[in-house]
Amino acid sequence: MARTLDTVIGRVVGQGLPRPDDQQRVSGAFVFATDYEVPGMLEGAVARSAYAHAWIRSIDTAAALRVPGVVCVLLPEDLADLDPYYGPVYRDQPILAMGRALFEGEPVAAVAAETRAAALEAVRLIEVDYEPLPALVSLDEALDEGAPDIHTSLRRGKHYSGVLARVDPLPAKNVAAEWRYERGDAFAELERADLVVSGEYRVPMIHHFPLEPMVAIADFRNDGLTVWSGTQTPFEIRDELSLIFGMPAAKIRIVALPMGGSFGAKAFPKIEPLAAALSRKAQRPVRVALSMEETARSIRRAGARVRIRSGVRSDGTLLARCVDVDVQIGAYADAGPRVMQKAAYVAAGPYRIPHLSIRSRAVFTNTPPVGAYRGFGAPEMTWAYEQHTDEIAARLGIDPIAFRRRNLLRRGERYAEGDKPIDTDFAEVLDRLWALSGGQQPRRRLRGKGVAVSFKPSQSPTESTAIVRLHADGSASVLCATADMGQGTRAALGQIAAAELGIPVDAIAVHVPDTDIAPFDQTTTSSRSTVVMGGAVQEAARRVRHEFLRRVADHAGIDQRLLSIQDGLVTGPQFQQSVAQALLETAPRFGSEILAIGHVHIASSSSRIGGATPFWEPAWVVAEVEVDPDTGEVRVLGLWTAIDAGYAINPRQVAAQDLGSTLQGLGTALYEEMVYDHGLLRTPSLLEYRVPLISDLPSTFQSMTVACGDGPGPFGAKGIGEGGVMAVAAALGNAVADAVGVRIRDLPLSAEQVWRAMRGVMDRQGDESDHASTKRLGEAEGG
Amino acid sequence: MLRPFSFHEPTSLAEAVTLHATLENAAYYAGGTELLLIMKEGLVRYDHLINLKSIEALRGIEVRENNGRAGQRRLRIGALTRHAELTEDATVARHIPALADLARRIGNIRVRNAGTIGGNLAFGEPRSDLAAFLLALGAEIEAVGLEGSRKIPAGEFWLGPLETALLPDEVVQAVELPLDPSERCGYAKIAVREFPTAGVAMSLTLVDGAERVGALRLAVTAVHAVPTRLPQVEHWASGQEVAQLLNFGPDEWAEVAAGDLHPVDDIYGSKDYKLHLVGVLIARLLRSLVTDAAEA
Amino acid sequence: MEIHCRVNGHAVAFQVEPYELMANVLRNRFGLKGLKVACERQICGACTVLLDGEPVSACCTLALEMRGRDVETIEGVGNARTLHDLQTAFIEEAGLQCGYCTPGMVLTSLALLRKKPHPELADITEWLHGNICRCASYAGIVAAIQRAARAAAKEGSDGSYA
Repeated sequence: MARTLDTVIGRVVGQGLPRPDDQQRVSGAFVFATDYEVPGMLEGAVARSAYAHAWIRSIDTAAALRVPGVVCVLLPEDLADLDPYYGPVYRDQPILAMGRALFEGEPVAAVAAETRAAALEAVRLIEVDYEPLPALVSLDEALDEGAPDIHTSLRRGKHYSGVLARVDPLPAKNVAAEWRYERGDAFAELERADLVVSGEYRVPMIHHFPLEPMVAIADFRNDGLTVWSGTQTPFEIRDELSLIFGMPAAKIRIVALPMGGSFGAKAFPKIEPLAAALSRKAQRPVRVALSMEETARSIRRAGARVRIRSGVRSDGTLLARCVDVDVQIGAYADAGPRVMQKAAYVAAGPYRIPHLSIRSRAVFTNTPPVGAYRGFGAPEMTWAYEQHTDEIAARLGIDPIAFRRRNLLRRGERYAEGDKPIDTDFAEVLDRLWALSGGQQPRRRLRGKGVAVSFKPSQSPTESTAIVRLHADGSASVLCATADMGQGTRAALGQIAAAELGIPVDAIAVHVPDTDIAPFDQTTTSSRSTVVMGGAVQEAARRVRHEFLRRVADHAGIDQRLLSIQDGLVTGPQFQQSVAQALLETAPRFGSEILAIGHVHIASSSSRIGGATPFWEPAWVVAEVEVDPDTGEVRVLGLWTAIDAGYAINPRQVAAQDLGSTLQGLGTALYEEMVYDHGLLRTPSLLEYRVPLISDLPSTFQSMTVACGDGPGPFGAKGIGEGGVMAVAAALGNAVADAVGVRIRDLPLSAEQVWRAMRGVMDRQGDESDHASTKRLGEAEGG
Repeated sequence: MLRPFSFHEPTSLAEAVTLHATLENAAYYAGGTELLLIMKEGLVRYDHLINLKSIEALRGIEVRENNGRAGQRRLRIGALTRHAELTEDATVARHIPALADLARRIGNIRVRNAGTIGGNLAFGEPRSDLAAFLLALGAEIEAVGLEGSRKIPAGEFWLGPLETALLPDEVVQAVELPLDPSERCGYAKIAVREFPTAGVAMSLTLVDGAERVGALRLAVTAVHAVPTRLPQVEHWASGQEVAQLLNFGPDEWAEVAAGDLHPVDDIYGSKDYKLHLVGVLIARLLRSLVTDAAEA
Repeated sequence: MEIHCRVNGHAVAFQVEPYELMANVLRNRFGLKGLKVACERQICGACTVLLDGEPVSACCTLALEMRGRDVETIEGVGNARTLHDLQTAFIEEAGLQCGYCTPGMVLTSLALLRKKPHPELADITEWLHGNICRCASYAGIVAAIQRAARAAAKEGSDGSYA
């Protein structure tokens, strides 16, 4: 499937090169956001609400202010001259709780001190008088008619104002947003179907647990604001700070420092507004470094309840589907409503379904805000629709692979009007992956295999700009705001620039994102950067190359079309010179440095989510498991995953990303869950919250990269990086159902839940039974 | 971040105990794995830490022959012994290999390198693997305080979560595990998170040509607020035919254990599930100990 | 109190307060920022340092425990110019993405290879059970350790890690 590329390109892109900063990363020299310091900075610490929902009667800071080294305590009244609210969807989240705390851990005050120890000691001594209110945690509690209102009004935020323009704020009590999509007449078609299958599926709230907690340094002095932060969205944060502080964006500088993991946690404002407000009061630079527990109380992934009803013909053709999605977002919207919208958009799965009705709501609860998380809603929906897919196949008595093959969208078909036609081969890749996994195995007790197919749209509309500078010595700088969270995009961008310029990769520097220096970039999210920023870098580099060759051709009197650059040498008929030498010789006539801008902007469209995706990001996973009949423990024997990279600019990093994504997703399948008790988090640290460990590595673990050169990015690339996490939980769910003969519809597939499910079967059967009969019983549950 | 404290380094037990009595708000310190964590969290605050690590009397692993008590050889493990040392010590491996296996699965390699057996006991961790094991083996904990030295039977040591029979000034000096060549012992746990969901320790002797269970001792950890013996199960199983007990599945064991156990629902699991896991672990341990015995 | 010890092979003497943690002293006083602080619960292993060759959590260890000991941090293993073979293996096998866990991973792996030059998969799992890679690059990490072990064996010197 791989496209053959010419040798010039093949030397630099398409190679599994180490990343330029790998040596720094393995030797401890790499500077993460945590390691960055600003001279004279103070240390900040945050006093947080002890309740999930409470009036704040008073805050006593007298003892805190007496701690030696404390410079100031930030209180809500310090924000009186500001518009201290932020959020990419609604500007509903205050820097500090304004009279009422809406979730446990919400900042209520903050301290700046000479040392971290002093700041933490002062926070301990801040006395807050609370009047507790009922905490709404579950969807049902929040949607109850008698429930208190978490918000009574909402203002639109800036970032998502375009794509959510037709979504009304607060359409009902505690509903942040509603979204619908209808085509055909799904309800009528369900009446006509040969078989209707329905199910309700749930995913719990989970947290990202990036290993590096959140950290930001703000310096609010001299009529300007600089923030150094580990963030995926420097420009969005700049614009939010501009609104909060009433300052022109030009006077705000955000430096996006490399992150020790993010996975969506460090997108959109997090602690930056608080750090800036603290620095404004202290008139010193202030660092706010959270603990891992504080980070876990600051942001999370959505919980969801998904109800699906599908009508099929007896030959296995999907006719109609009705989906109801309730997304459990937090006390403030953050990206929650956009997650809801994008999740609901793909809630029907990558299938050809003529009649479709999707209704979804994002529901406020007294829990931490819901932001982006790798997959942006797709993993939650895939869990639901891919359990459902297997249930339908089982009811029809059709092999689940064959059932999918029949209904999966084909290349060129449209998932929805106005969006990009499907640009991948769902059925063909599924067949290949299934074959790679060894296909159907002889039936063994308590062993099972399962598959899942997923897809998600990238961001739309979407925009990136890059500047490439070719310096007089033949090296080049790439100025762009693509953030580094370990995903390797900056390495890929360097490879793209090197390939276009014809100079070695190690002569390229891709600079740390800085909104004062790099041109505008939307965000580093949605697997978009290699395609969109990559396109901008490619365009800028091409312009630089063109100008360079024009100068050389002019100077040497050679037809420009006969010149080429490779490995830092410019070559033509009876002509060869190093790029540096050529620049030196052409400088007196044309100048020293060559600079060009590349810009990619894909505009909004009639698509139901505001824009047509530049590419679809698909994922396929096959899982094989063995279940312990006594304990319900699931042992993952094998995982096989496929992604469509279009073209792998760095195949090694592509595979590594997907393997990591898949194994990260294994945690969401088997273990991960934020457990609340009356609105108080019982799993705030890695002591209680289990993430994947080295022992979770399956004995067979393979990632397959599809590369047909058919993507919109440089050299035919598409975005990757979410991949496996979207489908792995669903594949494991299907494998467990295959192994034990019972369908579990709620994540995680904890040992206890699997044990209970098996128990249900055994209780009814009286004893262990052969697989065929338990299988039938499992199918009967689907109705 | 730790709040300030002063640090004291006695070189004898007597000195340590006297210091503790003299100083206001002092705590003993050895590996620090548990203590520093709760101090960092601000859950406790001490003005003085008394370092026990320079006290030779708290070190060493040795077999002690019967000392007045007929026929009772004991494995004596000094309180400063770190979990990692248990996994590698030749004496432990020779006499109680199950203890080395248990230690190998405590926490992680850094915890095993820092944490001491004495600290684990003194902290009264309700999810301690070691606690169940010492209970099942009928071990004794030797404590030294102002009033001198005393031996506390394991069954009287754990009083509640983070609460032990140690008096405020007392230091764990050593634990002594009886060595009975006819006795088999083992420990098994189900652990998904850092702490186990359930852990069971068992020791048993076989009689009548290994066809019948002689004495059986069982203890569980992580299921209750405190590590607990299972007297009803022990009583019920003692004297039974091995072949019959091997036919017992997890459910049967759980049913018997229900008389001894009153687990509560928490993030680790529901009470039903924990009770069931105890049944699973008893069945598994019995099978492995009987098989070991047969092979021996 | 006065501490004398060896840090990455160099004899050093310095003053610490008894309540200072090793992680803070090594990061802030010695500038050894390759040591990362993450969970602060001894679960994740990001702050791993070797004390007399044994992995410990610097975030939960008093700085005074360095007294008389040999302290190794990632900076002592190899620098960006002259990497240790094990570090090169991490790069070659893509045993990292963000790299925040990598210093701890490398140090724990190094301690393992010194003790067991030919580790079985079970040994690797036992030793690295407490080192969390949230990017979940575990496949690459296992491959890197095995690659480094093979490379050492090929050189015919089991003691290359000793």
